[in-house]
Amino acid sequence: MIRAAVDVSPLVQTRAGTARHVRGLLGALTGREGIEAVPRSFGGTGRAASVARDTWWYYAGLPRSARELDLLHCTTFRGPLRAPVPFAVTLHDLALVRHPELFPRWHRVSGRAGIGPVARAADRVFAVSEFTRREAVELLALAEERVVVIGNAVEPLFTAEGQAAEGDYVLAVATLEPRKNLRRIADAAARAGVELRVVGARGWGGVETPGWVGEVSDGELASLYRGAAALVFPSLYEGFGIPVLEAMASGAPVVTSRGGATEEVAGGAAVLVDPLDVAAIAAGIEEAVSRREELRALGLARATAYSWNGVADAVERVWRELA
Amino acid sequence: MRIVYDVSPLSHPLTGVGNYVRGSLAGLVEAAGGKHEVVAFAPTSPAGRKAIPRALDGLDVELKLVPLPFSQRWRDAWSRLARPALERFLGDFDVFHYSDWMYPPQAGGVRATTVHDLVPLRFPDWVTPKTAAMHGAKYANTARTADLVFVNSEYTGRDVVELLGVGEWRVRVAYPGVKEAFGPDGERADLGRPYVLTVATLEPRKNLQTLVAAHRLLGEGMLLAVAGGSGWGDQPELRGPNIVRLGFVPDDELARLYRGAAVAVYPSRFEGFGMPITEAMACGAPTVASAHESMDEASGAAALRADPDDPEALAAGIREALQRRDELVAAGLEHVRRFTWRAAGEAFLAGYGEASK
Repeated sequence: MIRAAVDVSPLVQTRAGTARHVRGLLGALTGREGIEAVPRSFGGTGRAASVARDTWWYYAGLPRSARELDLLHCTTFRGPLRAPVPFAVTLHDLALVRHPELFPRWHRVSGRAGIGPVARAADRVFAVSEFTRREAVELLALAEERVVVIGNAVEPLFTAEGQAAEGDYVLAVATLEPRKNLRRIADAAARAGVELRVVGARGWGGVETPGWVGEVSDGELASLYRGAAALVFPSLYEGFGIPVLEAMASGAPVVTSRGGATEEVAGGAAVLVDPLDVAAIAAGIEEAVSRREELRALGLARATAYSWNGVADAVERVWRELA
Repeated sequence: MRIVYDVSPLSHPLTGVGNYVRGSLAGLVEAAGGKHEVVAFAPTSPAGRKAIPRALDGLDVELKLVPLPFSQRWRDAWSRLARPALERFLGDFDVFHYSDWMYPPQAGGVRATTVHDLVPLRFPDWVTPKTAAMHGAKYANTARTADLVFVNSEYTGRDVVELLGVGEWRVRVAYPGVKEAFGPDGERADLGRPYVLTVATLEPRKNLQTLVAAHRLLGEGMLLAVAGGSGWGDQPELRGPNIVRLGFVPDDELARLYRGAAVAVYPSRFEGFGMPITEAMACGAPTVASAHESMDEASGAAALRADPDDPEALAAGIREALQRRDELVAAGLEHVRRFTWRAAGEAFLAGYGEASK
């Protein structure tokens, strides 16, 4: 029996990508023969707890809590520099290193200081996409063979069947932050002459957008995907691009950025555009609307390429190697 | 006869070899019809102890799983050391039929194995050095010790005679059958427009670049759908307009995709047999296969053939398959009727019987 300590503290901190990743992965690992995930977390959402977690727990508390187990699996780039057992960390993207200007200063300083040394100290580094794997090898100077692609997947409630939101609109799913390119999205939607709805938490950097709906439940989000003329997701940088896959699974045509992780995840089933070109994004929206049925069929087929079971298979292989 | 069949490849998720082991064992049990005792044997890790019974669910065989940690290393050591003999674990038997994964010693009885292809010898660049070394030792042992070498095609048989120096009289063909999941009746996939389907794990041997180039010659209207491999991975040759990557797809879904395909194409440079060709035909897809002679038997006269290195020829083949659809579909369905696992099992039994005389 291989027993791995798994950092589940992202679950208490956020609803965004990382927490979904942890939940999906744990679900698919549960009940597998010969391995066991032992959850580890520290504190709650309070400010004091966050500071203690980032300064003490990840470096000392978490590795110590794995002492009696076979290995330690960190579900984000936060982890120790040394541990009593083999350990792996997870890279969801390298936006912080590739585009520091797109982040607030505190994040920039604390995050960049940690990510490289921790990733280099780890026995294995998990990357959510081939693109992120290449970025990690290049930007963090990691040995290629230590970085393993495990993929990502979406919650099972994102399906084509179910309630669809009313109206004639395109959907953007994005925290209000500079990386998500919201100004060009709004301009492109206006140029294409369609209503824009934006789902996502308030972020930083003074980003505001027309059509902002705020945060919604997953059920509502699925219904918004189903009713949308298209998902418009011309992000400037992604490590994976979960909304692309969610939209495809929900049967919505997708317009996303050419190059990088979004093109990889789209796998040929989306309209690809230059994210810096408003006219191109607008033309992409029009193309997605006119090819709706075809893109929908392609997207549904493509979405099956990713599953939590597939992610768990890749993780299990590495656990067995390390333990 | 008491027949011991090595099922160790089934301890991992099903691959080509695993599929063959599962299918041919089922065929053997069917052909034996209760007249012979069939034992499924594997030294296996704790994980395999779960996976193997699951893979063999519903088959009437006696299971002999010897639990061992680090199984692959251990299997290798056992094979190389050549002791202790198998009888120690299994008692006496009449036939031992081993797989791709090990070649343990036996004190008596007929010794048989299956060779799927000789890629590691023919094209060492296409496999990792570790695979090449492991198979090299296995082939040498097989050539020296096996009474019977079953092969998945006459082509592989000729390779075995030529490259391993095994006498022709020891080599017998047992064609792989077509799995039940692949049939013409059932749902058809709809990808929004006509598509060419290809199935491939992404490796150089599968030769996808030529297909991508050929697809470009077909014009805008035709989609290229690529099934197989993981959903991710570095696949630069597969970027391009009108190409969709479907990642790994399970058999049922693959059958659905074949049924809905305008044409199925298999442009591989070399195969031991070419199971995707017979699977496509079984689902009623017009099929274009590589002209390489290793795929002659799987293709029969029912597939159109094209030079796997010539995009123009491949595109022409696809166009012709579109035009001659009905004729090719009918010919394909007729051609694959001979490929059943029971026939493979019968070939095994005939071989065992003669070798034990």
